[in-house]
Amino acid sequence: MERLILIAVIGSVTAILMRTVRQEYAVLIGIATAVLLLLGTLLRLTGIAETLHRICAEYRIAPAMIGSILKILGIAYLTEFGVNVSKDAGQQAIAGGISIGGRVLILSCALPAVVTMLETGISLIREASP
Amino acid sequence: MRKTLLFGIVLLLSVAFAESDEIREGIDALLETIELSDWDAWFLQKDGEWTALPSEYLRAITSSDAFAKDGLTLGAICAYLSPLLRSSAAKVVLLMGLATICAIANGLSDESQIGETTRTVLRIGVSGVILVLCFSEVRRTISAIETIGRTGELLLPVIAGFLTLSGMENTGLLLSATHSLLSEIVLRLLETCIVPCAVAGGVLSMLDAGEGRLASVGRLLHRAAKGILGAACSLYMLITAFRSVAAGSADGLLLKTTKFAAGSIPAIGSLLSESVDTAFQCLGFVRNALGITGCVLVVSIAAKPALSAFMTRSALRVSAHLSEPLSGKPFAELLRASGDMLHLLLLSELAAIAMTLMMIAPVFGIGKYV
Repeated sequence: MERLILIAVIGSVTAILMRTVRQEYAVLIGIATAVLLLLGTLLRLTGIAETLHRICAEYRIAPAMIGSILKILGIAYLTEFGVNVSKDAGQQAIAGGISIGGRVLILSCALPAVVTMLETGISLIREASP
Repeated sequence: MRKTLLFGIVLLLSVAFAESDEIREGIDALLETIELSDWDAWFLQKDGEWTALPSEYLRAITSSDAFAKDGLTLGAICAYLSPLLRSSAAKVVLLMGLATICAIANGLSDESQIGETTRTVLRIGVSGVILVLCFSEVRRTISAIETIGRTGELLLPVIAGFLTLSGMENTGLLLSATHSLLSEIVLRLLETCIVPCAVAGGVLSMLDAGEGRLASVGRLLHRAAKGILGAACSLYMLITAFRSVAAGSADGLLLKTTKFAAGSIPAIGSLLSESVDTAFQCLGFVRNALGITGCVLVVSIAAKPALSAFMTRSALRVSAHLSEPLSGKPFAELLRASGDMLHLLLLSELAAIAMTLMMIAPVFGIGKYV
């Protein structure tokens, strides 16, 4: 955590200093800092994902279900990251495009999960009905 | 007439053994009249973890060492519970992992609408995982209710037959009548109305995460299922209680008259009267042992699915409480909705067990009238 804060502080200070010299370098430093922070955070998620996969295998829950949930989360964070970077660079139109693209990707990833949920719900009701 | 004759033969047999002051032999002779091979076969087919068979258990009770039998000890119950506890703990860990994922999604901002879309989609995905988790419990509970019904059918001929042989024809008839009421009305109501309402209500509440209109319909279905279950149980218990008191009194009167008649015969002091007393004690002893064995059969067949449903329900409720501060209300409501569904199914199963035990209860109750 301390390392992440250190990277954030150094990145922010460097970007502010560079803004007076060259604006485009400041943007690049901002992007690089954000990528480092994102990678640092995502590495911590692998522990949670592994535990969930292990328990899911025990209860015969398809690993694809947990996989798609994690994929959706990853896409959402990457999309938000892209939107924020584009906004910082003053590219509102690109930010809007990334946002729409991200949402479409999330919904397409969620389709198997939605189908599984509906199928399970229907088979539960069918199982219970006389 | 034939039944009265059979009762007479059994009574004479018991008196013959009692006269020679050999109660053990009297009990053994009575045990020989009970055929439990069907119970044993059913027990073996349903659950292989309990090593003592009903016929062995009946003999063990009559020789007062029931709890020394392998497979019916506290150790067996603990061995039975510990995997369930482990699996519940694993379920809590899984649900807390999902709660963490939802909490991470809560960190997304709503500015670009990515956050809202992600949270909705994740809720659907998580609902699917929870439904899969509940699926086996629902299936097990439904199958347990069906099994309890079939166990009643298995118990009826043996217990009713022995009661008739013991001169308690009214209680035997009551058992048949109660079983008809249980299997034809109450259990059918459970299978065709209460369980489907509970499951449909649970699924609807989960789809809506306990907030929208679907969740209201789900809650309404749950309330309806609870109301029907309560009414059916109360009516069944009321009818059975009245009938058992009436049958018990009638049989008690018959047995008291027999005892009085035997006591009034002037045969070498009070020898005949004492012999009849001993014979009645033998009959009562075997009858109670048979009733206990029947109860053990019902409980041991239904205990595992009931315990499993209870553990999963508890895991869901505990996770709902733990995850609410972490992942917010929608996820906790999702867990609560699934927990409520399992709770209602568990209540249905426990009601089926209690009503089957109540069907057997008059077998013990007759003792107080003699």
